[in-house]
Amino acid sequence: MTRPQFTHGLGWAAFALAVMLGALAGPQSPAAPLPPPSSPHQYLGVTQCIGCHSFENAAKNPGAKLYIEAGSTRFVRLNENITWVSHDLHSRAFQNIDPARNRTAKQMQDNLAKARPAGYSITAEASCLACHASIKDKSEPPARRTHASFDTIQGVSCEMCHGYASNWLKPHADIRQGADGKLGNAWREWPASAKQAWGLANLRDPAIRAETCASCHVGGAAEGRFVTHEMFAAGHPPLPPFDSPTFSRDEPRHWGLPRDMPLIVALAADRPNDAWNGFHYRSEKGEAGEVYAARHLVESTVATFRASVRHIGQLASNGTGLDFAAFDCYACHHDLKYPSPRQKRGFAGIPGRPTFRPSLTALVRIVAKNASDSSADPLKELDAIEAEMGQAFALQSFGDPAKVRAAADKFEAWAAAMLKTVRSVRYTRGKALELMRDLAAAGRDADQRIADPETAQLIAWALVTLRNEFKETGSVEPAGMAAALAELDGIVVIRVRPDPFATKKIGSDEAPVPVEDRLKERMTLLNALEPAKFRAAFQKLAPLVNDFK
Amino acid sequence: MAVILIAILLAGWAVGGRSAPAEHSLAAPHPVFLSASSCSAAACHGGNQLGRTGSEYTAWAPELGASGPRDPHSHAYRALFNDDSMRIAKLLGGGPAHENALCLKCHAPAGLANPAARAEGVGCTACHGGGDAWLAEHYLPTWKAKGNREKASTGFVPTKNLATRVAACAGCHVGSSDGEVNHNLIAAGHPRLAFEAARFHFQPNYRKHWVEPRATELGLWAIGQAVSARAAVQLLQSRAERASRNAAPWPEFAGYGCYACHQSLSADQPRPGGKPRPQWEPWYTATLDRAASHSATLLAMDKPDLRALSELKTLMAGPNPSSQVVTKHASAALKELDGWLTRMQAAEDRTSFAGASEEQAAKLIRDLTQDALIASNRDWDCQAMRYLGCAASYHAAGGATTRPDWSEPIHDLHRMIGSPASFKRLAPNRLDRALRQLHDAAGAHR
Repeated sequence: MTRPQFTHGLGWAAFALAVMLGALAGPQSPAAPLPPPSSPHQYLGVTQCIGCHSFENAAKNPGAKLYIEAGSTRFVRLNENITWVSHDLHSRAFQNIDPARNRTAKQMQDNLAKARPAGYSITAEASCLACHASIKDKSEPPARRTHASFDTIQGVSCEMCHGYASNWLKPHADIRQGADGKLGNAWREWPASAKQAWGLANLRDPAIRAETCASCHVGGAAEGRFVTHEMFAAGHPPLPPFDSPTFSRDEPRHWGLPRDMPLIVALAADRPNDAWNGFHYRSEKGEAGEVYAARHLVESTVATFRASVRHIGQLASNGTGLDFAAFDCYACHHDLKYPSPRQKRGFAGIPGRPTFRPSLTALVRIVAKNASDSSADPLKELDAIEAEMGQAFALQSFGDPAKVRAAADKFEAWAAAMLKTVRSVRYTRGKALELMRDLAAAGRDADQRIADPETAQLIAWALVTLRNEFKETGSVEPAGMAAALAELDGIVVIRVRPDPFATKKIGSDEAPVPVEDRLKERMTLLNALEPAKFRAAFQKLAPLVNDFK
Repeated sequence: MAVILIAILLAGWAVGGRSAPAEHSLAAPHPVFLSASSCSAAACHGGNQLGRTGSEYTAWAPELGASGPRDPHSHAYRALFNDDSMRIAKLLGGGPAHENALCLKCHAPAGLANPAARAEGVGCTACHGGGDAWLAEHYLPTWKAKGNREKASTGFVPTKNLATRVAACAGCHVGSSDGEVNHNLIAAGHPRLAFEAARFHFQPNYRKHWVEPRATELGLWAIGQAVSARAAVQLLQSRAERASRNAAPWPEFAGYGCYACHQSLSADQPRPGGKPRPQWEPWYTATLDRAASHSATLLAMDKPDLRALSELKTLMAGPNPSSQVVTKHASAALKELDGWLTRMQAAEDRTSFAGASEEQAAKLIRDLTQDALIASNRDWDCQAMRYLGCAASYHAAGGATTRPDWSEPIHDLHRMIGSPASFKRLAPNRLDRALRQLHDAAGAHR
């Protein structure tokens, strides 16, 4: 059973507080949120969502008339499920581990079965389903899960990210006539914390979103989500480094950006506090306006870092030593040759001692330095913990779990403090431009870390995130920018999914493109990363970024 | 009884207290102060006539500007000044390579205690033994009358005994308790060590200062197998001991087969035919069992028992091997290997046991090619070792003159397995075809 977010008493206290805060916010404030429910949040399944979120074109569909009258399309699209089921790979997560449909799955099934009792099937294996299906009850300890603990029908479905819907289903769709006689729904303007108490995750908060994604895309050992080295060796595709803005950009987006949603834009203009508390959004307009993508980038970067170090700490706590997958893949998986570019490049730690992925702190250190005022150097502490973590990995082959755990805890505390710091920063266009320049400089002056393909990848992605945002919101970029970025495209991967809406619909007979076909080119590119070329591309980009207006 | 006691005492002296119940020491020599220049008098070993007795120093010593085969031992110290060494030293810290004891131990053994002797690199005493006890006597007629055991008591290393000789090589070329190439060093750019006695002896660009009949190649191979495995176990034991005191990382990566981990992640790279978990020292153990059978045939003795070694291998291939348990198992494996080696060493003292009949060579080729076709571990280390055993057999049997039918598949295999890079690009069925061809040829009568 899922435990409720609050105990009953505490829930009421929070409710009372919310009412008071609501009262303070002024007469325009919406109706106070309902007190949190006493029943646990439970899994419902996608069938409960499709009734309202499957209108191909809500404006022309008489069935959607009520919702349009009630202003629902001012902040949701009502076609979310169509986008998701037709184009989003999450809906295929279970199909992709079916050996009958997917040759990677077949290969993994065959390899993994060799070391297991007869009748082994990856489609019934809890450690696969934890990320490739929907978990019916997240409070059940991962070790006790069986295939019956999962709903496989639509892979990773709505509630895996948005939260178990048993409690919030009703209030979030509760359309009624307001005092002004208009149809509406008070739920929309509840603070995110109140919605959270009802079980809805605030995915508009980049940190919450990134940590939700990271649970599978990086790993969450304590939640039973972890691609082990055995799985990789059996054929699981490599997990690329996770970057929330890039992955969100290249996901067929079933949600609207805040600036495309009139309700959120109006709220940000009229009641900025409510927009922040409800949607984690600050108006993009004017001198003090925020660059949305910059906020997404910095918060998700810190949150992804926090999720990653938490995962490493959990891996170090399982009593059997660190799984190889906790290490930098390329520390071992590289060609052996003399002379080797690795020696030319140098080593961040002790040569010959595999350590954690060097990309772990790559972005967060740029973000942290940019966010902090000059009086404090947050990197000093980060460097010290990183050195400690390096020692914990290297002084004993395959790492000293107790020391890894200790360093991971320190990293986590640092990340929590850094999240507070970046929340207090206002990412105006000037500040965001400064961040973009920092990223360009990091690529241009790349130290030895840049020989790591994942680090190169992350820096390139972050730069593209900000550049695209500036371009889409009216900035004029210097001539040559597009050409310079096109050059970078052949050195690292710029688009995770170049054409997110091109995926064939599930209903069609066409089999999904096998993952190894999608990844082949990418892995070849990453394996052959030439740091000098990467730096050269950034030497061209950096002055252009400086000329950005 | 008295003989055994003396042997133990001598061995104890020679290896600094470590138990080595061999007839004479199987440990690497400990050079003290003599340097090559003492031996190079024209009337002694500097006769300046390559290939002649009395010109050993001449063969070893580097002439400036000379090209062609040479003895790399004389260049060992100079290598510490080249670009690779500079880079390795920079990456590892710990000062310049030419002053670092870790490097000098093998690149200038006599130079460790005596800086003036550094320039000679791996000089005479590094292999033949240090100290003037034997120097004073070794040119007198009484010296020639002495047996190897007696000579060894003076600190001399009787390198005519192949087991003793190869043990001297293994001290650096495999490693020892006080000198090793660990994974840090390899990562910083030092070539990995991959010693195989027969190949090292007969590689064409090595200018030997002694004459070695080609027929000894197979005996050298078998002895080299036992000596190398012994050195590898001893190295493992010393690493385990140090790890138990928290003085070294454990397990040491350099003790595992490289290609278990070092695989490219490109989707189009064929996976090397290895095992799913890293195996301990595939290079030194892949053909050990065949070498044991082969030496048993040659010596008309029971096949040496290698059970403890096999247990040690299993232990090391498992998850999280305990350094304490490994130390204990290594002792048992050393005892086993010493039993085998002592017998080969004694046979060498009586008469060279190196000669092998053509049928014995053919049998070994059949065994090794069969392993190469069906063994569970077929990564480069294992296949290269199997190939080297076949090559030694081929040469010992007389090469292309006697067995032209072996020549083509042997040369094919050399091209395919000769380097890890060529091996990686190889289509498995091509390798199998050459292996089968050699296997069948070795089963056929001339």
